[in-house]
Amino acid sequence: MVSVEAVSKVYNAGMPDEMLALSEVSLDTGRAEMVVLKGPSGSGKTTLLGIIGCMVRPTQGKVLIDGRDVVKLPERFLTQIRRKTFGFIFQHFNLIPGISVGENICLPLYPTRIPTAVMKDRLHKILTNLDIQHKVNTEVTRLSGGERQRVAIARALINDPEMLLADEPTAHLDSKLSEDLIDILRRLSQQGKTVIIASHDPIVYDNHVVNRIIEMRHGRVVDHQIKQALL
Amino acid sequence: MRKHYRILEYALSSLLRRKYKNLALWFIYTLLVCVLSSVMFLTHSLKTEALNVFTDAPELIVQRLSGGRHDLIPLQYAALIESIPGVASVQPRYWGYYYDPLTEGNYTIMTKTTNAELNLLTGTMPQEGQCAVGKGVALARQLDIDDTMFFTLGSEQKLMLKVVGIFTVNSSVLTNDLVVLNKNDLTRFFTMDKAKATDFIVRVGNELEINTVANKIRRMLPDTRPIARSEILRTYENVFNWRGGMALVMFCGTLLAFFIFAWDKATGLSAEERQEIGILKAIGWETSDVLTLKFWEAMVVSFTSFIGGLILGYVHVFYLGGSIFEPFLKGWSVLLPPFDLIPYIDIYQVIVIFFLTVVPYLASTIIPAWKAAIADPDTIMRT
Repeated sequence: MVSVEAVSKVYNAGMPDEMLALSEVSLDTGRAEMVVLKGPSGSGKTTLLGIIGCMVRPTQGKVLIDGRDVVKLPERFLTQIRRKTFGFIFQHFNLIPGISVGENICLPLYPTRIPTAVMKDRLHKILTNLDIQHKVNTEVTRLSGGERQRVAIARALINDPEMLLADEPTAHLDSKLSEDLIDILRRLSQQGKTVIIASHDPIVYDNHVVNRIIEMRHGRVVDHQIKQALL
Repeated sequence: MRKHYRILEYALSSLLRRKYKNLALWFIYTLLVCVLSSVMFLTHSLKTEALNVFTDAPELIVQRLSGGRHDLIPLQYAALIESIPGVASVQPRYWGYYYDPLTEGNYTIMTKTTNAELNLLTGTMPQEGQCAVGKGVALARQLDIDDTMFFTLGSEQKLMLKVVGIFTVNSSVLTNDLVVLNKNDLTRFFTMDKAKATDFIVRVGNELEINTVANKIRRMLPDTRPIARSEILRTYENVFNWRGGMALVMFCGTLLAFFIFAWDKATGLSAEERQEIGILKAIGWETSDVLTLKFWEAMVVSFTSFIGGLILGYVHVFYLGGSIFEPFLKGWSVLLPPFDLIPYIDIYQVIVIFFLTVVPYLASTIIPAWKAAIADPDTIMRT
């Protein structure tokens, strides 16, 4: 589904603070896979996730989505790909403060032509699945960490994307909530969605539901494990 | 349509999230539009009133100068002027000023001339021993029909007249301070020489010949000063434009503060705003959607401020008498009995205010948002 070929990323190229974040990284993901990008802070996981999700342009290399190279596409097309293909779960949730749970979740649909009734129906289903329907009108800053994480997942799912990208999703959760989150992601994977998680949390990469683990260090892939149980 | 409605809804909630900042901004913005619109409304209203009045004014007025000052003109000059080809008629006018120590107002005293457009609100035009007064005079002296108006110039010159008419509020700049009375009463009160008038009204058959006739009068009677209506109109326009300009110069500090604020906005977004744009882009908003959002945010603030400022300016000028700007715009208002301005609004001035206030604010909101939104979401969130 997504293929990354010899991708490199240099931040602040030509400047005194130039930094090589990724170097010649390649990987392939298939449909309904659950992939973990593992590695310490600064290993390039988030950058690779951003490149896969068309949020960061690589300095060189190719990113193929359903066989089409998207690296040189104008921003307008990348936005459409982001909207239709990917759902993002950010490390710090990145919810918009001051507005309700319902509004935050529906934000990706605001600039679309989807009828309001359909939008409300989707919202209701997602909130029920994630068991936060009673929080629909609550302002997001009043939520606990676990609830915020669910709202972030709900927002990532409202467009019904084919692929979910999660950056350190358990960083702000305790072990119980982390297990719950993995369970939610497993269910989504079983429903046919590809899930790619960047994490250095053993609860995530040691979990039996993960199909593949890609280990990164200093911007390079140093190990690629395919878990037997999922073959 | 549905998309724009949702984005507008989100823009409103965005503004509410920063309500104290936006309220303060709205207040300053409204005040600025109020100041600008007050100056423009007041200047335009005064100018229009004066121009309306002088549209009906005589085509040519001839005054006599003595030692460079206006002096009474001998009636025998009328026959000489009438003999100039193109002159249809010459009519003497009798008028003067009267300072009323009771009300501390300055009144114009004149006789009724045939071509003066003076419409009475109530009553009749005066005969000997009677007078008609402007609304301002009637209010200042608390006069009504059949009351007695008393004038005095020292211990010798006294005049008691019965009020028989009050002028309408139309063209109140001219009639507000006016007292119209009979010629005999006026010449007696001002102890004027019976063989002289204050000035002449000259009617010229062909309007295109006014300047030619004026030049001939000047050559024939070198001690006279012919004044064409067009000159008076031009002078009034210049005086009010100059005063309006002066008022704007005095308030250019406010304008400058606003432009500095707009520039400050234009040169960068806050970290919070950049973060929000990055999130919106990451979850699938296009650059155009972000710009639509910023447009609505700016439009709601600037347009409501613009409308609010215009309404405040209108109320300030036409209901509260433009009390802040009155002294330097009317100039002579301290001498006149107070008068209400008749509302005249020039749509071009409203457009000018719109372009001076709404457009810079829209630009200062949208340009930095556009600069941020064209970048990759990751880049926006990192910077």
